[in-house]
Amino acid sequence: MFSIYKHHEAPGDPTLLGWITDRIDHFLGLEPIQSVFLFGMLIILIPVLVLILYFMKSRKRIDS
Amino acid sequence: MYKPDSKGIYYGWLIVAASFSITVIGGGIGGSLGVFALPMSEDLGWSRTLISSAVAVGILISGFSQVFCGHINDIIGARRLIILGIIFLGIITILLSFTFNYLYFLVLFGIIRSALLGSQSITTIGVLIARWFRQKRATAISIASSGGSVGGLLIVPFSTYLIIVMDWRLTWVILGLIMLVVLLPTAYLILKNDPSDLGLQLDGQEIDESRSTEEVVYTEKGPLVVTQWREAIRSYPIWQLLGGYFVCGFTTLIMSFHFVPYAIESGFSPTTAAMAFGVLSVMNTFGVLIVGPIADKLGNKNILGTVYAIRGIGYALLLLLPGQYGLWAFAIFGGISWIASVPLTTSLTTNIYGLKKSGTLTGLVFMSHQIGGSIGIQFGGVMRDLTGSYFVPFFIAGLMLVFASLISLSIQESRYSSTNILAKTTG
Repeated sequence: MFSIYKHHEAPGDPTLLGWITDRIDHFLGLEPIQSVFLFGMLIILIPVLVLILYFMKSRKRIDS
Repeated sequence: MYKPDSKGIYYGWLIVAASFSITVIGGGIGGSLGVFALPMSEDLGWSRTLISSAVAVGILISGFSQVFCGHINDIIGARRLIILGIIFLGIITILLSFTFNYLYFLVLFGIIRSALLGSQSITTIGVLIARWFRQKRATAISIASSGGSVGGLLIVPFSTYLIIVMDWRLTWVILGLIMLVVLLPTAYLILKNDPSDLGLQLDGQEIDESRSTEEVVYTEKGPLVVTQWREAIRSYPIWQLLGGYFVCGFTTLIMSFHFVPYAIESGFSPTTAAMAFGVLSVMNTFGVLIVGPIADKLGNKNILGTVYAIRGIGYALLLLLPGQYGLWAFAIFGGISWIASVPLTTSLTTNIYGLKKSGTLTGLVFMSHQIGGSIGIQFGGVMRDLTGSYFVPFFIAGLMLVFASLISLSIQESRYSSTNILAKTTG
């Protein structure tokens, strides 16, 4: 929902971000600490998966 | 160290995947200041206007610095630029946790950090990807660009909840550490400037094994392929691209900064406004992903012109349809076109002017975007005060999009596009 601001790194309006956060709370119904873990894991997962792909490709090459 | 595996997936797609990670994390952190505004202003006794002024300074500086980042990109290569950028941005993000007065924040966030953002921008990344792809250039840049949408979806709520659980100072530290600990190794290990660094060719084509890689290289040929960026200024397409991207910046940032007052003025509830932005977000992720493959088949300028026309229709429907219908129509039409212009403009610039000075030229085009955006923000506010509503500034934004659509469609892409031919350099 926040990606409208990602048109070249323009930061979001705090008021709108507050409205959107309320909506996320409403939909997910998680405690803040649970949300931190959920979003944190997703953020770290992306580069980690890319690195795994890179190492798998490197390994495959070495094996062959 | 990686050695090319010609039978597997083309290494260029790993570059795209790593670039996607950079736009998710680097770009997401870049867009997260909004969640810090309230806690920082309360803690340090600042007004929101004070923080907004640092943001406004940052937008202009990031626009102008992109030209310099692009120029550095042309000299030292995107890999070094991106890696150095991650290191410095990571450190600066951590240093923001020590903010104690406004001047410290203005210099660190508004000036230094904004100047460095160009090193991670989709403009820089787009130029890197363009060196790996020709036939699927727009597709590859589109995928990397979509990381911006995903980053907004993940980093901003992550920062919001982290501030609630901890505080804003520790949140800056954690965001900086994510850049240094997670993103830096990804970029360092995977990013390479050019397929030839791995003995590969553009688009992953097989090398004729009877020749060494030193003997055959791709050479760019085209009527406007430049070796000095100033040569491009004397041609029409660069001005068409600058004009179109100026309108792009104007029409996106005017809405980003004036949406809340517009929504309040129009009587929309916060729930409706937030939901409309949710739809817009889904649509812009969808839009940026579909334009690349279509542009690779039908031509970048045709799709770029269509994208601006669709955004113009979004503005028209926002003003013409009654009540919430206009808002939802804008979320759909505006959303699908919101980021789609970014990969198309980068792809078109590199296709026409070649890769040698592509960093500087795409930086120049990006600067036009940011100037347009800054003017759009001011124009929206001034016209709102003068006329008492947002009808006139949004109407003018819609008209400007008609102009942007027409000048984009009039770019003679097929006439000016460069081609990459395999040529012998020795023997």
